Amino acid sequence: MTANSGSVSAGAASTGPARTGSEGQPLVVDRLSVAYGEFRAVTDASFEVGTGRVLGLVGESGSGKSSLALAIARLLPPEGRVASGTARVGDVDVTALAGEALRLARSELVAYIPQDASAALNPVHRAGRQIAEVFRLRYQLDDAAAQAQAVRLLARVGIRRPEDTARRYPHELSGGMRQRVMIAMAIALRPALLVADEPTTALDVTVQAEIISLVRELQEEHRTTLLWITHDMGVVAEIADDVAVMYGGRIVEHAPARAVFSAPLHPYTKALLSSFTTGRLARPKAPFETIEGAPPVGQIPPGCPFHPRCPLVTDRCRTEVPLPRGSGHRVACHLAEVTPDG
Amino acid sequence: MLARKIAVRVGLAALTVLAVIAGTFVLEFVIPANPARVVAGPKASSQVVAEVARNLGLNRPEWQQLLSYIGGVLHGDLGYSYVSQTSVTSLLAGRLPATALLMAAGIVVELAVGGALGLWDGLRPKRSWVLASVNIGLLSVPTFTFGFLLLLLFGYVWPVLPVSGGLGAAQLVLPALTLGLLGAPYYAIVVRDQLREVLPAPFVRTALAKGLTRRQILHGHVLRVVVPPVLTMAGMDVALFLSGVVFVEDIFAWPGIGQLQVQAFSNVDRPVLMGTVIVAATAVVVMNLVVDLLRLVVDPRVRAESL
Repeated sequence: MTANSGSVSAGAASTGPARTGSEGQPLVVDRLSVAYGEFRAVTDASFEVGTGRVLGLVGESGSGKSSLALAIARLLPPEGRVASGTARVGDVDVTALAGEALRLARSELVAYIPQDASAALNPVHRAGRQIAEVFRLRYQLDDAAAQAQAVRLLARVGIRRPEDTARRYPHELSGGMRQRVMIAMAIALRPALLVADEPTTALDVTVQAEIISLVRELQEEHRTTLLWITHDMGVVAEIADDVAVMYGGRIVEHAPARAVFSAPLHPYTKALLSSFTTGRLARPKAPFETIEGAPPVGQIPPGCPFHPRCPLVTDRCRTEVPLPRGSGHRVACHLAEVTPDG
Repeated sequence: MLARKIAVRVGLAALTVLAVIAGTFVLEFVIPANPARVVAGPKASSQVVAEVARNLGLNRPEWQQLLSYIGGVLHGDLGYSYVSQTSVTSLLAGRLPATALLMAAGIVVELAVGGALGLWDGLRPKRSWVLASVNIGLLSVPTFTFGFLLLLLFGYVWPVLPVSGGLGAAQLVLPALTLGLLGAPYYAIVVRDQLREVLPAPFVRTALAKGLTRRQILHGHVLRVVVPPVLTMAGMDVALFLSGVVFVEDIFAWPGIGQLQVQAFSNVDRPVLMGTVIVAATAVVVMNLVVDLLRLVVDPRVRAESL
């Protein structure tokens, strides 16, 4: 981590005028489905994340992980909708919120860190103003007080010269700085749940590591519940307590991170991990394992979504959708050996 | 750096005006009409016409006329009207405020009507047939037809507004509406398209994620991005407006530059005609310059590109 963030955090114990000292809340997602018109991006996703824990949600592009994240953060585009199911943060079902309650839940209950910070910042406003706005408009702080809060938050996310950065426009900042600004904005109101949608994908590797440890540090400090979406198993290994693997709009495996890495049960997870280990850890020029075929686009196949690419496919897989089984280590595969449901 | 950029732009603007002068001069000599004959009257003998032509300096070679005219322009002398013998500068100065007022009123109507229509349509989840039909209706009517239509409706059928012309608030309404309503469709389309582009942008989603209200998002984030292109368009629109102003002033007897231009044209009053063209050309380049500078102020990204 950068040198100054630790020292600043001590002086920045009280964040935001509301919810001071508040902790995270558990997230319980129950059979959540997300649809864009006729197309189902997410089907019957169920998982939970305990207070202050980090769930790594892994999947390829098009697996539905971003749709799931946007649905939980209530930021789906107008053409997308939650078709069924619930997502509870503490005792609030965010999918049922509307109007003023929804407006207040965004950012105070659930905050969202997007993948592309450069597009997510308004190009015509200074960075500080964009953070200060939260305090100005939500808490009627005057300009100076709101600006002071913004500068304090910028310092908190490890920016060395926060006053200077606050005066800059997004296009004058580096990718890592922009993402730090987005993080400052996300934590401004101390959300109970933080949804991070591949926040490090657009960054180079060293900056990526800094951002990961920054988010982890902030998350631990406030015991915020964190849902971290990524396609990178390496990132999951660094940050996640639990892992959920998505494929074709369904969660195919959900277990503590250690269990997933040491004893993956789903053929897709196994393939994903072996391509990751051969890719990153193998000797140079050793063959690089890939998963045959391509993930489904537009049309999700009947039966198990992974069956067209699965080496172990049986007739049953082609017709019958496998439901999640097992306790603690849950997997949606007809062939996997699991400990029976409690 | 910025000062140098502005200096270059001003220089280019001056060159543009010079080019317009030369072009108009050529066009004036192509028109098959003899100003001396018009000044002397249809019954004058050919000796009188020749005498008038000599007095007006028309018997000199064209290139000499052009050069002495440009020389005069550089000294602020636009010559004298063939018809009234008064100086063109004073004629223009007397007419300029009226035209400026009409144009400003027209632009206000244009922005208000076009902006409102565009916002209304752009903020709906789906396109509406209302905007499309209003636009087709307005765009398919020529300026002069629309002017006469308004004149007929509000001057005779339902006589609530004066038709007689002159400078005044009541007299301003119809010509401003004619100009503004005919320009509004373009603004409606630009505003609508901008909204359709900006609303799904990730930074609008960020504003939503902050828990801002719809109004706060629209004012603080969306409109700040939508307005600069509209400004640019308003600046370029001055050219279009000036051509519309000519008809509108003539129809509504609004005593501005346009009316002066129409009179000068039928009288083959070359110095006056040229004066109005210079005013129009200058207005266009100046407005473009103003818009560029405004965009520098409004949009920090433009500032970054140009500095």
